[in-house]
Amino acid sequence: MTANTEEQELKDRISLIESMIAEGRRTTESWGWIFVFWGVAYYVAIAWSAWGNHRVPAWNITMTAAMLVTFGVVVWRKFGGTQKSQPVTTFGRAVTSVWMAVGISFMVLIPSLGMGGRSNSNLVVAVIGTLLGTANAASSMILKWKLQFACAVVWWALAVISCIGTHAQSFYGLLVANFFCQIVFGIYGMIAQSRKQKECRAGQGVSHA
Amino acid sequence: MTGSAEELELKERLNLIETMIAEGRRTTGRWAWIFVFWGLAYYVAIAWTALFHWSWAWLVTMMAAWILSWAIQKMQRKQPEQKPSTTIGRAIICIWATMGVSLTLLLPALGFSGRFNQPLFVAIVAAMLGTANGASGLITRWKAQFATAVVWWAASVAACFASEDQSTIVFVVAIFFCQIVFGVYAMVYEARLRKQETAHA
Repeated sequence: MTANTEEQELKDRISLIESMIAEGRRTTESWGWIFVFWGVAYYVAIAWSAWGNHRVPAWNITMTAAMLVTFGVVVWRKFGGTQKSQPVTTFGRAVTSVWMAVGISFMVLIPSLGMGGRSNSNLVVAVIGTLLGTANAASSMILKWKLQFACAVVWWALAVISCIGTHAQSFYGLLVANFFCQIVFGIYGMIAQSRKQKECRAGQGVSHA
Repeated sequence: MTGSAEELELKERLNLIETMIAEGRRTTGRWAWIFVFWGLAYYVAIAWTALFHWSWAWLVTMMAAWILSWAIQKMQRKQPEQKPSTTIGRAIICIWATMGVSLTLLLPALGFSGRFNQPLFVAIVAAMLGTANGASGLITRWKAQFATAVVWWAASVAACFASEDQSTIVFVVAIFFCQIVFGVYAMVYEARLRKQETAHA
């Protein structure tokens, strides 16, 4: 009898963990727009610094603007959104913690390297690749999501290429990695989320009928 | 009826999450020796480089430390009282593993390309250790660990503006507080919890 209860409890815990993993992935998918948004922000900064007027502050201004917009949207979604937000699961909280810590490292390291006179484009791309590789890899391992782990591998490869490659190789590497790991992965997340929302609405419709 | 059932489920989930957070801290406590061990390994590498000016000192010390810590954790896993890992424990392991992979890829690549120098090394290592400690501290809601992350981030900023010698001093101080002091504190915390458990049993 006790063994049966224990087995049942174990099954309950496993199914709860599985539902938490699924919810964690859904959390990442619901933030798919942020991948696309930052992907576009990187392209704006790259284009501005390569071909625009007043090239020097291009990265600083674009990244600061992107950070402010992201912060504003996060605050709005948390406190002022019209939709009732879902309760955060352990997996969701773990993934959020990873991205927050990486975000702080980003804000600390990249401007300091620039102001300390140690920055060059290859090094900055290598640091970006390493930090985004770490964040994507940790998230994907927590959520057991192979597609996101593939993004991490691409970012890590970019970090190595930027260290040992030329300026042009690093530049084109960033363009390609940004396209696949931010834009494509972000759009995939957005599509997956809207599909699940549709299914959920259809399910609710059936239960009401 | 449905409302109270949902409330009960929510309470159960919250309980489970709280248990997981506590277990996550214990996981860090069980691994606290590794903080002290790596802190000492960094000191050995720094002293070896400073005293004997041997350029391979870091590589040899880090490889030896990695092999030793791997062997010790293998032995630890064989112990029968080892508890199964929780979701939060697993998340923390994922964070540290990916941080390790990132540093293993980036630092040799920087070395081979000739872009390597002491302040840059300290800035990158400190930022990465800040990331791992910061994420772990946020997950387990452990202020002491988040404080170590803040120290690492401060060290990263300081190294960017420092000379070679200054950056070494910054690194030595950060290692002392974030590896040795925090590691010993976490070991004491874990030992105290174990004593409490033994007393209750």
